[in-house]
Order: sequence, then structure tokens, then C-alpha cells
Amino acid sequence: MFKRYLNTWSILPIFCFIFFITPVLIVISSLFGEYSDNWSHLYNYVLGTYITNSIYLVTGVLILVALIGVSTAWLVTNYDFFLKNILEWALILPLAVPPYILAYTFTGLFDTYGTANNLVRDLFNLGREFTFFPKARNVPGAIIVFSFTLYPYVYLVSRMAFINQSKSILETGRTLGLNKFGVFYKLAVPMIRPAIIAGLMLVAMETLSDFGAVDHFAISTFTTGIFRTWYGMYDIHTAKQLASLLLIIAIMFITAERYSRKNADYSFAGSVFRQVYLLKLTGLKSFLAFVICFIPIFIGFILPILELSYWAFNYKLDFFNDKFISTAWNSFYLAIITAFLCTLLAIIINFSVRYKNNNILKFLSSFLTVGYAVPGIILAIGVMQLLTFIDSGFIEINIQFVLTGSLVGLIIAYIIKSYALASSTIESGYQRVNKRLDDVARSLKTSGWPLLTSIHLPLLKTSFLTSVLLVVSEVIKELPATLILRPFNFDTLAVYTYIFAAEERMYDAAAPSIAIVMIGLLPIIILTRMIRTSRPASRDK
Amino acid sequence: MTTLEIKNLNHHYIKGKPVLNNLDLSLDEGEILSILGPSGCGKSTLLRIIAGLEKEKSGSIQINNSIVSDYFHTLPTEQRNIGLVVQERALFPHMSVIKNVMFGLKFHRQKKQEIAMGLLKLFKVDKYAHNFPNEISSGEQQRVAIARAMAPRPKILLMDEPFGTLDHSLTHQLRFETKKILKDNKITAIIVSHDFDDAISMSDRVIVIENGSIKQQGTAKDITNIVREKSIDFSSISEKS
Repeated sequence: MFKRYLNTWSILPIFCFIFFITPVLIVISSLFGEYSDNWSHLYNYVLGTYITNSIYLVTGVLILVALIGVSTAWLVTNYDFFLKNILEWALILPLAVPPYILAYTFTGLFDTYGTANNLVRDLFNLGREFTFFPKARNVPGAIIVFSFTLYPYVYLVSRMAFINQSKSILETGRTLGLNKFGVFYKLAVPMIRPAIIAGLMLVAMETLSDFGAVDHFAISTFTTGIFRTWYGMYDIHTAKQLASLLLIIAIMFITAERYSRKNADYSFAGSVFRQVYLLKLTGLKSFLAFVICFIPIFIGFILPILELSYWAFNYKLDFFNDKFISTAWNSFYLAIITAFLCTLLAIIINFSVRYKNNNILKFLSSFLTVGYAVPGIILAIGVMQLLTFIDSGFIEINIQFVLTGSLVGLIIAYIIKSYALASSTIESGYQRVNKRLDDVARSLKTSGWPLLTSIHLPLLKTSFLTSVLLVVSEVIKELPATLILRPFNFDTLAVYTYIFAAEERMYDAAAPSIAIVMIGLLPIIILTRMIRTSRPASRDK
Repeated sequence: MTTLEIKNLNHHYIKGKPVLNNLDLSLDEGEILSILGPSGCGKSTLLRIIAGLEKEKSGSIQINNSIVSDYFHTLPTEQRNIGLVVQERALFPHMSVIKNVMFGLKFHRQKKQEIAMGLLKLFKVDKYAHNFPNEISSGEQQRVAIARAMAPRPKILLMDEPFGTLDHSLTHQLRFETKKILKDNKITAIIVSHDFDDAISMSDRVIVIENGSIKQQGTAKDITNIVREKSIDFSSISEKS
């Protein structure tokens, strides 16, 4: 029994489990320590603001994201209208734009002397004091920024759920007196509610853990508070206590997301499945459907790209200078190293689960994916403390700070944060590899490592590449953990963008921002290819 | 000489609902045995336990007079020297036909190629040696799967519904050819099937399993007579499956 659960293939998952959970435990442990005067100050004067701002932000974002994500998914899944085939995949493009970059372009566009207000003044020959667009640096502005960059999470899950929805149930609704809109909000949406909630929980976690956008808009939330406490008050212990509160909220969202995902299939049980055929819309209806789907793409992708390109080219800045190239190179090699390590870990751990098929390994593998929900800032604090602790062991032999402040910490934090992406990609790749191949290979005297290298790896090539690209784009975008853990004088594209934006040098921030978006587009292109092939209804038509 | 000896084999997935119940079975060298029974009777589980892909709850299994599994130890699949053919064929999709057959051989490359080509000729699929599995028909894929399982000269060849997905005329032809090859090469084999014709036409002996125990056993002729005498409708077994 002991051998069944503890063997060579258990070593890596157990090691990763310890390494993944330790930084989180370090942060949580601060709750049981002493509370300093800084904590009393935070508690009495600003904690309430952090909480109310976070609640306003998350509530607003969730409402807007649900409206955009579900309505666009319903339209592209059930109707045929003007440019529908393009809009269907273009709706996920805003995923390539991190919220902080949209925030930077929003301030550039909508500040008093921003591009949009200047354009209105020039067009209508108005005075310099006239402002048409309101300022974006406030909670409603942040709600719009987060909603238009994060709605694809809900769009993707809703679209998939609508595609798999039984046509028969919807038609039964019509025979029972519901009109088209009634079918949508009384049947179709309630039936996919668990999928929508799972998507919304991801959005809530992303919103809460963001640092770049809220910092740029000067909105006090948990993440900006943690930064201020650490770098302003130089009090890491109180920063950890604040981070623990954020972590508790994140855990609540993770639990809700997991629970919803578990129930995501309930609506299809017992129903006779029949594919949905697309209803052709013409005239004004077709145009309206087009506008509803185009607006999110325009605000979340086209507008920032246009603004960034305008800054980068019209101001004729020498943006391809040595600094930009060295920064891009830093981002690139860091992302590639992380992506390969993360994907290799995901392959070996998923192989262990499949090969040994025991519950402990299944639990460990599933637990490791929780890292994606831990805000980067919390991970960074935990990893830094862990590395400082390990480094303290070297002091005896007169070597100090071997790991702290090195790239090791940064790579560890990235791996913990991105492991879920790699693991889910490899896991879905493995679902397509028939388990009978393993049985046959074992009967032909091939097991363990040779089974992995000669049979599984060649069959997982596409999943491997997809996973690498997804992790690369995630790492390139990551900001808060990078800001804290990067070695001295080591910049990445995200940090470079942040520094320029913090100094309001938006034109200088344009080139690295474009680079981040372009790299982020690579996995999106793969995703859009998958989306095109995931529509049996339209193919059968 | 006895090639396979199974004693008091018990297995269950849910306590109180046995899948295999005190099953005893032996198989002589070169003998072809068919296991018949409805879906869920435990016949595929028995095959997986013999292959070492699942561990029995109790009992013992000997192959060539050495214990491969009992209470104290279990030899992993890769050390049991068995061949496995499954209904889905499970050819490695990223390897050519000849590479599939060479996969289980542990010789130098030229010798491996010779053996593999010889087997492909035997199964009349040598002209597809360098094609990939998706480029040949399902009947040809099944021939390759059997050739691959036979290549390392296993002590026992285990075949789980080997012709289950093929059409009637192809099944008939493959049954005949496979039996001839198995007999010519004196290969001990167990064929699990829910198809009465498969069992009767392929094997020397047939056992019928129901609820995890052997209900009938005898030569193919004996079983045919029992079926006639008792007017058992074996199509119902197929339908259940």
C-alpha cells in the first residue's frame, strides 16, 4: 500500500506541493503574529476604503462582464449576422491586452488634454477648457477597463456552454409561450449559470489581484495598499497581514469557481441533444447584433492598439533603442525558461497521475493548479521570504543572498502562477491520448520514462507548444510579482511600461506595450483556430 | 505443459459486488481459449488482471510455472511477457506500421526490421510497412495490431474483442487467417468476446462467464452442442453487450 502511494513518480508532485504551498503559508502565518501600530493606522483609516473600493470595483466589473460576455456569446452561437464569422473569434482578442495597458491608453485618450478630447475640440473648433469625455482615473473608469479586457473569460465559457445546449429544450420553451428573449433569459442563461459563475469568479480574482491599472488610476485597493505598506511604510509584516486578507477573499472565489465548475454540466443531464442551427438576421437586426459584438472588440483591442501605434509612430520616438531591445530580451528569455520549466513539470506530473492512477497524486496535481488564483503580489512576498529563509542557511559559510534578488525567485513565482495554464493544456492533450496505448506499450515492455518519451511526448507535441505559448504570454504580462522580485536594475517589458506610465511618459510606454500585446496575441491565434473548429453546428448546416 | 494457471481469483470494484468470484482456470501451451459472456460479466477484467493492468483482490496467477501475481508480490505488465490486442487496436499514431511492429523488439535495428517485415508479410500488410496507421483500413490496422503483439514472441497472447469493430465478411476472413497463424506458430492465446461465432471458430476451448464465475466450459464442439440442446440464444448475449 505504502509503495503504491510513495514511489519515484510521487517525488516531483510532492516536492512541487511543498514549494507551491510554502510561500502562501508564510503569508498566512503573519495573521497569527503581532499587529503593529501601522496595522492600527490601516485598520482605522484606510482598510475601509480598500474594502469598499474593492467591492465597488468587483461588483461593477462582474455586472458589466456578465452583460458583455453572455450576450455576445448568445448572439454568435445562435444567429448569423453581418461579419459574424470574424466577430466570433475576434471577441477574444482583448485577452491579449493586460488591464494596465488599457488603463494607460484610457488616460492618454480621455484626460483633459488626451487624444479623444483634443479630437473633439479640433473637430468642432472648441476652446481648450472644453472637455467632452470625462476623466477615466476613477472607479467607474477602472470598471470599464477591467470589463473590456476580462470579458473574454465569460465569453469563452458561455459560448462553449451555449454550443452544447440542447436545441430541443429551447424549442420546448417556445411552445410553452416564451418569446426569443424569454428563451434567452429564462431558459438558456439559467441552464448555463454554473459555467457563467465559474467565468465570473476568474474575472473577480483577476480584478482583485491587479496592481498596474488601479495604481495608475490612483484607486486604493488591497494591492496598492500592500505596496504602499511595504515600500512606503517599510513594514513587510503588516503588508503580509494585508495580503492575507486578500488571500482569504481569493480563496472564497476559488472555492466558488471550483464548485460552479463541478456543476457546469447539470443542465444537459437527461436532455435529448440536438445541434443549434443559426438563425439568419437581416437589416437593422443584423446591424444591431454587429454593433453589440463590435463595441467590446473596439474598446478592448482596437482602441488601445490604435492609440499605442499613434504614440509610437506619430511622435517618431526612437523606440527600438538598446534599452528597449535589452528589456525585450530579458522578458523573452525569462518567459521562455519559465514556459519550458512549467510545461515540463506539467507533463511529468500529469504523466505521474495517469501512470500511477492514485488519489493522492490526483489531489496533488489538482491542488497545484490553485496557484493561478493567488495574487502575484502575495506570491512575491511569500517567495521572497522563503528565499531569504533559505539564504540565511548560507550565512554560516559567508555567502549571502544567493537566491534573494536573483532570477530564481522570479521564475519560481511565475511557475506557481502559470502552472494551471500549462497543466490544463497538457491535461486536455492527454484526454485525447487513448489509455489503451499505454496498456499495449506496457505489454510490449515499455513503461515509466520510456513510455513518456517514446509514446506520450510525440503525441503531446501540439499541447506542449500551446502550453509554452500560453505561459510565455502570461509571464510577459505579469507585473506585481516582477516589480517586487526582479533583480536590481533588471527590467522586463511590463516593468518598463509601468515605469514610463508612472512618470506619465505615455509615448515612451507605447513600444513596450505594443510588444506585450503582440506576444500576447500568439496564444490567442491558436485559441481562435480551436474556436473555429469547435462549432459542429455550423459545419453540419 | 501448463502455460497459465489461475487459482481462486477474486475481484471487485464495489465491496459486496464481485466482478470475479473464486475463478480457477488453466491453459496449456499452444491452446487457444475463448472467454464468452455478456457485457459486465468480468471477462475483460479477467484479461486485464492476467495482463497485470489491474491487481486482483485475492488469488494467484502463474505463467510458465512462475508466480506473476499473488498476495505477496505482483509482476508489472512489462515483465510478464504477454501480448495484448485490444478492440480499438491502439496503434501508435505517430509511428509507421513497421515501427509499430518493431516497437516491442529488443534487437539491433536490422534484425528488428527483418522480424517485423516477416510478420507483416504473414498478415499480408507488408506493402503498407511505411504507411501511418491512419492511412490503412480498419481490417489492416487490426492485422498490424496482432502482428505487433506477436513480434516479441509472448508466452500468452491476450485478445480483447479483437474483431469487435470490423464488418462481418472481414471478421470471417481475419478469424480464419489469425487462427492459422496462431496455430502454425504454436502461440497460446486467450480471446475475450461476446460473439459466439468468434469463440467457436477461433478456439480449442470455450468458457462462458456469468456474474464472475465460469458457468460452462468445454471444447468448441461441446459448447455448440450445449447451445443446441438447451436452445440458448447467444444473440441475446451480443445484444446485451
